[in-house]
Amino acid sequence: MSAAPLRIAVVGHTNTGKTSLLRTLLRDVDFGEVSNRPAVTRVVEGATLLADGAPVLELFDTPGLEDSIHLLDHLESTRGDQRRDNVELVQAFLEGDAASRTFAQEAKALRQLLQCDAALYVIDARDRVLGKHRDELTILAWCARPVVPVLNFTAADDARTGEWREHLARVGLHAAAEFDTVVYDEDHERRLFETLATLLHGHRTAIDRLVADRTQQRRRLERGSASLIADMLLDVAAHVRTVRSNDETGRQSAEARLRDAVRAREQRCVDGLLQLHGFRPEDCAAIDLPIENGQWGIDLFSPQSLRRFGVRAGSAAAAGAVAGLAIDVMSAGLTLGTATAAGAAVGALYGAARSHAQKLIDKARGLTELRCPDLALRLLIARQVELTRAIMHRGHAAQAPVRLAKNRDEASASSDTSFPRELRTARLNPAWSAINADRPQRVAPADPGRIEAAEGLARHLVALVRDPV
Amino acid sequence: MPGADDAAANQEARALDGPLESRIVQRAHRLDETLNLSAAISSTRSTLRWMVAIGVVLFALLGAAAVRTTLGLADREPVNFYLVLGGALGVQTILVAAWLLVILVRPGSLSGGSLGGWTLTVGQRLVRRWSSDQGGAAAVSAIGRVLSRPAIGRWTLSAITHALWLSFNVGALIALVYLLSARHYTFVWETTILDDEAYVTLTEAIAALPRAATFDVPTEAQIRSSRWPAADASQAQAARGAWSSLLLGCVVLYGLGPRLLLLGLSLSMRRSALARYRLDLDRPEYQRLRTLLSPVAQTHVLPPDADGVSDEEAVPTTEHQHRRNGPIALLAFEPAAVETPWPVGIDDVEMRNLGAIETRDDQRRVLADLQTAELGAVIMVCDLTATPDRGASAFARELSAASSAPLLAILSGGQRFRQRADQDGIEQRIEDWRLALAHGGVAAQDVLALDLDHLTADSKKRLRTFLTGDGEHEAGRKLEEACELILGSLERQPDGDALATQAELHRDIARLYSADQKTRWRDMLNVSADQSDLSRSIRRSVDRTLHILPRRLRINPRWIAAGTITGALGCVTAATLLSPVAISALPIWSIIGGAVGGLVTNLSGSAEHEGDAALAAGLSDRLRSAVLFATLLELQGRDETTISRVLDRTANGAENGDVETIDAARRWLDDWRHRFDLALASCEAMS
Repeated sequence: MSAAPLRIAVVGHTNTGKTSLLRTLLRDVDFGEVSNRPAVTRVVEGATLLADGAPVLELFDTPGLEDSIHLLDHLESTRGDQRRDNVELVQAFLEGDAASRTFAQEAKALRQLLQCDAALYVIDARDRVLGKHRDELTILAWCARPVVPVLNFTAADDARTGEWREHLARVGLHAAAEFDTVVYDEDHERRLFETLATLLHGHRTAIDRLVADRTQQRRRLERGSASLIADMLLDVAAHVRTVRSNDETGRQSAEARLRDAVRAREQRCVDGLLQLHGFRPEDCAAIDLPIENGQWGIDLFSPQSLRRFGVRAGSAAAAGAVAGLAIDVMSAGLTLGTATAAGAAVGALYGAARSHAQKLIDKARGLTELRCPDLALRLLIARQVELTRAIMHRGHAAQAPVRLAKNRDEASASSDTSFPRELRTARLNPAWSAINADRPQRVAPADPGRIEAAEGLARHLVALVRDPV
Repeated sequence: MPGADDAAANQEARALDGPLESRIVQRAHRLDETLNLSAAISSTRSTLRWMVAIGVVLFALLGAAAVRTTLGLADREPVNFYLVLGGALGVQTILVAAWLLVILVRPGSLSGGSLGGWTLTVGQRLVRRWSSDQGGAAAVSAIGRVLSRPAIGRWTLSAITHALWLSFNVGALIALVYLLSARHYTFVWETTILDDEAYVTLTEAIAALPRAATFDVPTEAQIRSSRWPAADASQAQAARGAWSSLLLGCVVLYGLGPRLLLLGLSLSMRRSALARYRLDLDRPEYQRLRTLLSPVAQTHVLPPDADGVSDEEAVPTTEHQHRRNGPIALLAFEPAAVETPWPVGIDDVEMRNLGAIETRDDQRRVLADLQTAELGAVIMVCDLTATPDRGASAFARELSAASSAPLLAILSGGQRFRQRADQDGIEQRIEDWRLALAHGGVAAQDVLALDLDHLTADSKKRLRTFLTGDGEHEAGRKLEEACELILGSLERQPDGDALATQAELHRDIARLYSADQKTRWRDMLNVSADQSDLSRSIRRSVDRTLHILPRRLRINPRWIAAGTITGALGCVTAATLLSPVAISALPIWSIIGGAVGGLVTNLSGSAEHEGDAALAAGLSDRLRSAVLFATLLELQGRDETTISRVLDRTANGAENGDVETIDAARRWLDDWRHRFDLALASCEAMS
C-alpha cells in the first residue's frame, strides 16, 4: 500500500457531468459549478475523498474536451516523419502553441491527466456514440493512463447504456462503471471504486477502506434519519391541548394552533433530514409534496392527502377524525397496559393512572383534550419515509428538487404496517412532547421512557427507510 | 453559543489525528471551557445522588416501620411468625422475582417503571424545576441520554432499586433486633384450611439455610408445640430464642443477603457497561458533527492557470446571409437519433441531402463535396438535445469556408429535449447554440429553432420562408422598429396631455403593423371603432386584453395598469387609424381619460395609479403599455396559448421596478427584445 493518495483525473466531453460526478462522490452540493450548459468548468478543481479522516483518492475535475476531432487532426499532423510514440506527441502538443490557444481547454484536461494515476471518463449515456467520442477515447488512450469509463444518466429513459458498453468494449475498455450522478445508487458507487481498485492494484486496501467507510456511513444515515423521524412522531403523538368542552370558538382556535404546531414540527423534521444528508432546504420543493413559504403545501389533514399516501380513510368516523381533529376519548389510553413484566406493568399502570387521573380532573372541570389523530400520524410516517427514501437516492449533483415517487402501492405499504406501539404509549405521556409546553423546546425531553420509545420507533422506521432487498 | 469558540473547537478537533469519536470528545472538552457544562452535569449528578440517599433513608424507615407494625405493640398477644416474615420479605421477594423476569424476558428494556427509574425521574424533574439556566436542562438531557443506553440504564436503575431494598432490609433488621431485645414475644403459627404437617415441613424447609448458617432454629418438637391456640402461653424460653433467631436469619439470608449480592452484581455490570460506553455515532446530531469534524471529502483550490489565456470569449459579430438561387443542401450535424428521415420535403424547393455528419471522415467528405457544388444555401441541422461545443463551431466555420453559399442552421429536436429540460432550459440551450454557431460565423437571424421531426402545417410554412428567404426581413424587425418608436416618444416629454401622447404612440405602432395584417389585432383585443358607447367598448377591450395576459402578469399591478391602458387605447387607435387627426383634439377625449383612470384604479387597487395624469405620466407605465401593445401586435395570428406563454416568459424575467431614465428604458427594451426572441424561439422549437 502506498501512502500517497491515488490521483484521478475526471475527464469527458463537455456537459456530461464531470463536476456532477464529483459533487455526488463528495456529497457536496456546493462543489464547482453545475449547469446544463457547455464549458461551465473552466479550471481544474480538486478534492480528496477521505476514509475516517485519512485521504484515499484525490479527484481532479477538468474542463470538457470540446473539439476532439480537430485536436486529433492536429496531433496527427504533428507526427510528421519522426519516430515518436503517442505520449510524446501529446507532450509535444502540451508544450506547443496550440495548447495555449485553440485547444486551451483540452490542454488543461490532458495536462492534468498526465499528472494522475488514472482517469474517469464521464459519458452522458443519453448521447449516441459519435465520432467525437471515439476521437476523445483515442486521445485519452494516447496519454497511456488507465481509463475507467463512467456512464452518467443511466437511470434516464433514453439512456443508451448497451450501445455505449458495446462500443467501449470494442476499444478495449471492458470495465465500464455505471454511475448516475442525479439518481444515486449505493451499489453503483461501490462498483465504481472496485473497478478502480482492480485497475490500480497497489491501492486496493485504501480503496477497500474507503468503500467500507462509505457503507458504514450510509447505514448511519439510515439510522440517523429514522431517529429524526421518530423524534418528530413522538413529539406529535404526545402533543395535547385542552380546551373547554362548551367553547366552540376556543376549540377551533386550539385546533388551528395544534395543526400549526404539528406542521411546524414536520417541517423541522424535513429540514433536519435534508441537512443530515447534505442537501439544502430548497432541495425539497416538489409538486407532489410542495413546501410553500416553508410549509408543506398539501394539507396534512385533508382527505385527499391521506388518500395520496394510501392511508385508509374509509369509515365515517375516520373521515370525521380527518376533517377535524380527533378528540381523544378515555378508552384510547386503555390499550396501554400491555407490559409483560410486573415491574414494567407497575410503571405503565402508574403512568396510565396519572394520565387518566388528569383526564378525569379535566373532565370534571369541563375540559376536553385535543390530539393529533392516528390517521395524521400514519400520514406523517408515510410522508417522511417516502421523503427519506427519495433523499437517499438523490445525487448531490441533482438540480431539480426532490420529487416523490407516484407509486401509491409503495407508499401505502409503508403506512399499512401496524401502528407503532410506541406512539400509543406516547399518547399517554404528554411530558414526552417537546412541542407541548407553551414554550416549545428544541431538545427532546430526556425521559428514559421516551428515549426508549424513540429508539424502538427508530428501529421500526429503519426497516421502512431501507431499500427492500 | 459563541460562534468563534465553536469554529475554533471544530478546527482543533479536525486537526486531531484519530477516529471521529475522539474528535467529538476533544471538541466537547474545548467547548466546555466556556460553556462550563461539566459543572452543571456534576451538580445534577450530585442532586440525583442526594435523591438516592433520601430514598435510602426513607426505605430504611419503611423497613423498620414494616417490622414494627407486624410485630405489634400488644406484646401480651402471641405473634404470628408467618405474618411477620411475610411483612418483612413478602413484597420484596415478589419484586425481586419481577426484576429477574424483566431482566431475563426483556433484556433490552430499561425497566423504566422500576423503583430506580422513579427515583431518577423525580430527581430530573427537580433539577429541571430548580435550575434556571440552560445548563441544568442540558445536563439532565445528557445524563438521560447516557442512561438511555440499555446496559448502562438497566444496571444503574437496578443498582438503585437494590440499594433501596437493601436499606429496607437493614432497617427491618435493626428494628427486629431492637424489638426482640427490648420486648417479650411469643411466636406461634396457625391455620384454618392447611394441614399441620405442611407447616412443619415448610418451617423446616425455610430453616434449612439459616441452620446451615449457624443460626439457631426451632426443632420439630418446638414447631409442633407452637401451634395456636394449643400452644403453651408460657412458651419455653428456648423455643422463643429459636424462633427469633430463625426470623433474624430469614431477613438476613432471604432479604438482605440477596439484595447485597444483586447490588454488587448491578454495580459491577454498570461499571463494565460504562467502560464499554461509546458515543452513539448513529445519532443525527453526531452525524452533523461528522461533516464538520471528519468529512468524507475535502475540496482544495488549485492555483489558477499560468498560461494567461482569457477564458471569456467575446461574442463575434456575424452578418446575415442572403439566400441565392440553387438547390439547398441539408446536413444533419451529429444527430441524436438515427431514425430521422432526411431530407425534409418542402414543395417546390429543391433539396440536396448531404446526410448525417457523425465522424471525422463524414466531415471531410462533406467539406470536399461542398467545394464543387453550386448551392442556394447550406443548412446545418443541429440537435437541441446535444450540448453545443467548440467542435460544432469549428465545423460550422469549415462549412462556411468550403462553400460560397450562405450557411444557415436549424435547431431541431425540441420536443425530445423537452423531456429533459424545462422552458428555461430550452431557452438556455437555444441561446448556447446560437452562441456556438455565431463562433462558427452564423448570424442569429440565420438560426431557426424548429422541430424537423414533428412538422406541422405552420412550422412547414416557417421552414419554407426560412429556406427560400422570402420575407426574411420580417421576423423580429418590426418589434425593433416599434421599440425605436417607443424610445422616441418617451424622449419627447409630453407637455400637454400624457394620455394623448401615449395614444399617438400606440397609433404609430399600430400603423407599423397595419401593412400586412390590417384588422387581426382588433379581433384579438376585441377592439371596435364604434364610438356610440365608448365606455362600454373600452371596458370590453380592456377585459379582453387582461384576459390574454398570462396569469402571473394578471396579478401584478404594473401589468394590470399596462394592460388596461393598452386595451383602452386600442379603441382610440382603431378609431383614428384611418383618419390621421390629432388625438388630443378629439372631443370625446376627456371621457376616455376618465374611463381609463377609473378602470386602472378599480383594477389595480393601488394608490400609486390614481387618476389618469399620474398613471400615464409615469415612464414605466408608458413603456410597459406600449411594449405590451407592440408585442401583442408582433404575436398576432398565433394561437392564444403561444401568445400567453411568450408574454409570460418575456415579461417575467424583465426588471420589475421603475424605469426612470431613457437609458434605462433603452436597456429595458433591449432586454425585452432579447427575451422575446428566445421565448418565441423556444416555443417554436417545439411546435
